[in-house]
Amino acid sequence: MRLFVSVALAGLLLLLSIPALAHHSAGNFWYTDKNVEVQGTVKSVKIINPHPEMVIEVTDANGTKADWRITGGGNASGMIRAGWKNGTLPVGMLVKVVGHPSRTEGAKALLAGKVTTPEGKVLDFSAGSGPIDE
Amino acid sequence: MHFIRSEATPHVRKWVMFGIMFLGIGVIAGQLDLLAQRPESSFPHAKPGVTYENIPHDLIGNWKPFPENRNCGSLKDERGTPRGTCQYPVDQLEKIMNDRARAWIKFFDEPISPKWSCVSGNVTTELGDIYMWNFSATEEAVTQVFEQSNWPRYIYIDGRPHPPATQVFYQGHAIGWMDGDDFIVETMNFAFDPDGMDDQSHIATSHMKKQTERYKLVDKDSMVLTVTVEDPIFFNEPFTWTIKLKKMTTPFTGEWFCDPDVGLHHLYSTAPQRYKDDKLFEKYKD
Repeated sequence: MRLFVSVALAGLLLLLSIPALAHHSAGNFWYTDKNVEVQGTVKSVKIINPHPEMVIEVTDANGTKADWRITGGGNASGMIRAGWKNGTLPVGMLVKVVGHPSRTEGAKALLAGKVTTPEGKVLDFSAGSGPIDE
Repeated sequence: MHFIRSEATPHVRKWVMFGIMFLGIGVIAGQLDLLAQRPESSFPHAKPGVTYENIPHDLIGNWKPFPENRNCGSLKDERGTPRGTCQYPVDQLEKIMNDRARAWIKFFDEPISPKWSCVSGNVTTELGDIYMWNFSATEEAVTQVFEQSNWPRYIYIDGRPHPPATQVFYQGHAIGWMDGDDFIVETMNFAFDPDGMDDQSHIATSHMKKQTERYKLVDKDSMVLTVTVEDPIFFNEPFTWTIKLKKMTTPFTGEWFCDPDVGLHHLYSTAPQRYKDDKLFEKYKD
């Protein structure tokens, strides 16, 4: 597996339109004007609060493995309403994740974001972070 | 004490004792002065408590606040980054903050906030948060259940007053009554809360906080909530803001699983490390 890291401009953010932690000040914790893409194997997915979390194992170009912690931009209630379950992304699946990097230098953490499965299906790991529609 | 007991200095001893008495009187007077500044309950004791039949039927149900992203004023985080999300006009609140409130904001760092360890949002925050809440009523109380953390707030409508100041609670003690067509909720007996005004801007409130809510139905499906917070420990004047609410037919998910381990990982992988001996940072930074 390869690690793809790309720092993009704010324009890309608009294309991705990642809902940014509807309640929290995402910009105080994440570089919301930058995006990073990582690819790895799902180790765990928790549709839980305060924010959903996914851990993926990423292997860099040197073959070194590291766990990346992916934080969902919404909350468990919103993701459950959007149809997410703990088994939506099974452990062991190879996924590509695009998200905002942490403001803490060197942290292997992203605010996601879009998750792409091997079949090319794109899932929103920030589902439900917006207002509830009636 | 040896100095005071010395028989060789009776004159000095007399003046030292006088000084101690003077200081004691000053401290007591200061305490009385603070007590005098504690906001008074506005509960209309002359009237009986509101009865179940007085509660407007349209008040019952699921309500969803529609918070506006208000001006965060000059607030910045530990990195010096301006705060990006504020539920109420902090630029207006800043005008009535005292120096103690400003000192607290400078002292504050993110791990102090209880929210990272799954403590439910305080009632001031949750009234204007994005989550639904529900009103139901019994003869004793209007119950307000917040989807955030799935916690129930009992607003007593049976005429009971607040408990004595010796008792404090994280969410305070709430009593309610009708004022014409408006439902009034008064909450006092709060404990000190580092996030008392809301858990984004991290403005504290004290045991002297008094919160008054006025729920005014616009029609059967919409409501305006006016909230006033008084707290002479941190604010020089009462602060008032409004929240628009819409009645929802969306049901609660009915669950709120929260994992402090996930919250602390989130915190320590994104917030700066202010104190080098913060052992939690080493544990949760990745």
